[in-house]
Amino acid sequence: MGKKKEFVIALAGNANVGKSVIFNQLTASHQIIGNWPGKTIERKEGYLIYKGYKIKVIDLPGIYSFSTYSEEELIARNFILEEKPDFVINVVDAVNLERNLFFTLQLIELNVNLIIALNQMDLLEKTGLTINIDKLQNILGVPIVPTIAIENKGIDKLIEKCIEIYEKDIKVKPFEIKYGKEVEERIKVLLDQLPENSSYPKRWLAIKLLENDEDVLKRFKDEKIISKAKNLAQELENIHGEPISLILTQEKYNLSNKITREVLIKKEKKFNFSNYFDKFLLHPFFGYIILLILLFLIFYSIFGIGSIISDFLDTIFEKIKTILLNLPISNLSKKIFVDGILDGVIGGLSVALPYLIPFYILLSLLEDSGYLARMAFFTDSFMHFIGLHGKAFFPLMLGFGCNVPAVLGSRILETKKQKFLTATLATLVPCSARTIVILGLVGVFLGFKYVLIVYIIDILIIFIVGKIFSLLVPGKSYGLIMEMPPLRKPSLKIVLRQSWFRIKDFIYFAFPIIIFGGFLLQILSLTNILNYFVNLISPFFTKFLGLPPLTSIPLIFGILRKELTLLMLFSLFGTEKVTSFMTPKQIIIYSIVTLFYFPCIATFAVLRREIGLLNALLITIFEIIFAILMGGLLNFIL
Amino acid sequence: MKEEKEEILEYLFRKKGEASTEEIKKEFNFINLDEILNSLINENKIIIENGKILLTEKGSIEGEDIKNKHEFVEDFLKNIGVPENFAHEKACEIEHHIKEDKYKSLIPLSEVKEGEEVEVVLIRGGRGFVQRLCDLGLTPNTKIKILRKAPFGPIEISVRGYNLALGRGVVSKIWVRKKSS
Repeated sequence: MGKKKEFVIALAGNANVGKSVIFNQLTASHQIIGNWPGKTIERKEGYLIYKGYKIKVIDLPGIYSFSTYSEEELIARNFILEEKPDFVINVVDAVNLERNLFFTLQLIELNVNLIIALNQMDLLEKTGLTINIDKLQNILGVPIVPTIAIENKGIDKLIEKCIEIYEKDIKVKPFEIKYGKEVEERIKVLLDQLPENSSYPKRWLAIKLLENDEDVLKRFKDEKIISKAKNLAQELENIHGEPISLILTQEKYNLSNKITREVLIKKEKKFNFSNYFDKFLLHPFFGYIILLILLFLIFYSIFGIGSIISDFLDTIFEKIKTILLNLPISNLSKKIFVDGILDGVIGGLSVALPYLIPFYILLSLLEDSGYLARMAFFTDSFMHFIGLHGKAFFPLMLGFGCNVPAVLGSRILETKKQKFLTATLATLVPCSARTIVILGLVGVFLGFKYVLIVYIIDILIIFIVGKIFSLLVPGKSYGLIMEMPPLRKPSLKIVLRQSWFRIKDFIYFAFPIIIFGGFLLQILSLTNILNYFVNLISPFFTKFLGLPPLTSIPLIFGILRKELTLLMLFSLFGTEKVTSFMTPKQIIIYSIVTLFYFPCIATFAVLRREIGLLNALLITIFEIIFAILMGGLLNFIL
Repeated sequence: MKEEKEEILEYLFRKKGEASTEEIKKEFNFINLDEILNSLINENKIIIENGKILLTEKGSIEGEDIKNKHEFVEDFLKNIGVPENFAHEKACEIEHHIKEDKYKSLIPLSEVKEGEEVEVVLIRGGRGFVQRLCDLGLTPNTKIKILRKAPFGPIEISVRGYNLALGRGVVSKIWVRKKSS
């Protein structure tokens, strides 16, 4: 009575354990997807109304540990420490108990109100094993609710457990993790010196001080205690010959190994389907053939389905446009609203979105089935040539269709540097719009041989830029370290739902930029500023690039959608016979400039989202300069 | 005299198998240098020709072993936080005390065959890298099984009940011990 019927739940756990699925089941349609403040890491938040309660749910990044070596880990940790959610639900993969418990032990140390969702029990039983839940609950001292997230089983119980604890005002009291004698002695020394009223859990703080945890040292001001902790840590390192954080990691793993052995029960030996299929999927020869076939099917379905939807939307929009143009309104507003804004929206809706829908569905399918990890494993070695690793293969591959999903896909890479590299390279991959331009210009007027040359140049440049950037861009870049989830049948419902959230998200953040871009361009052209600008750069176009002065106009409008660089060229010169106003050399230069000069506005919008505004601008400026230099170079040598 | 001999062999190996007598004298001011060199000649590990000391095939193999041992110890020391210059110096002292059979049983994970089971001994690399792999369960003494090796380097292992894929660069930094020894 009298207690507010509101509380906050944070979902924490390893990657690939079904955390997002539980989040989606909990919050259904009330979701806000954004980024963590100042970061480019996705933040998902939602709420649900249950038995009169308004419960806020936050999906923390999927991580394996709370050390501070990745942004995700720091974000998750600081959220728990600072925002102090009422409950932390630790989603634990039953199939992968030992490693998941290692993370649970860290949550226990953080002294939070912990509830465990023991997920994928069905999959575990399929392998002939089961878990003694009561025993695990007794050992950990944490309430455990078994769930099968993809079938929406156990989710209600999870919430009811939270409400029960909330109403009875119980504090979950897990067992205390004890380390070796030498470590415990030193933890005690620090505990005696730490102030009572610290906002952090005391024992946790003592442990982190011993570990020389960078983030804690930054926030914890007491120099005396810090230097004491450093001395104690040094003593421990002398005893064990290893950094203290590694010793504690090792001890926690030993503990989770012990617990796992106690609670895991072998029922019967069952045939392991995942291992069986992996024999084919990861076969050094057939594996690649399967990969090639799958890639072909993926492309075919993304661009097959995509172009059908795209054409369909185009027809509808053209009709709408005709209707709007016939409305009795002034020509000026027609120009601004119909040409400016609608063209941008049409670009976004009929170009990016149709490819994005099948892309997201296939991405979810590949992710959920576990094949995406196998693809990364397989392509790892040659992605090293461009300074990346296997996980970057799929996003970059997709770039050939459309750069937008490719840039969005860079999210699956771990470090900031790798995300940046993947996103940058993705914008250089010749997408379908650029392919139209190259085929329509180089292909039609110069022949297929030259198309091939243009493509080879492009791919070479991707390799060179990748290599150079991987050396120049600061930051960490590890080799491939990736969990290989067991293969499983994806749930179509989950896949569709997940895709829907992602597409909605894309519309929210990309469309304002697309609309604004189109609007701005029209305003500029109506107010003659654009003309002025074109006149300003025309001599440069003629002299440095050797192109006809008028070609700067389609290039500017090509920012909205790259195929405009071809279509506007035709309308501007009033003929589709390009050779009547451009020499073969000019055609090559024009195509190369089109390839590199600017990621289209939709790509820019997602770049901004994935790597931040500043980086997106940097890449864009780099590419404009690069394209001009390339064009100039070709003009000079050809 | 064993230590001195080893140091000379290592030095020669690093110098691509040859050095002038002058150079050796300058580098190693052992009182009994002549005696050491003679002993090496008797063991067929070096020969002296026109004032130059050359490694024989046998000497070259031994020199390489010592160099590897040195680097292994040095990496290990750096790994546990010993400062770089100090690690180099200490490694010189420690390398001579490592029993050959013990050291030989340590191999990089990249050299383990498909289907074999090994134990993690140490991971080379920066703290963040090492911590990352430990967080995934690759702590010292953990048993791992090599499930498969993909063409050109990456491997898949089974560790703590789950499967993990590791790229070529990562694999070469993990040192393991074969279970039988």
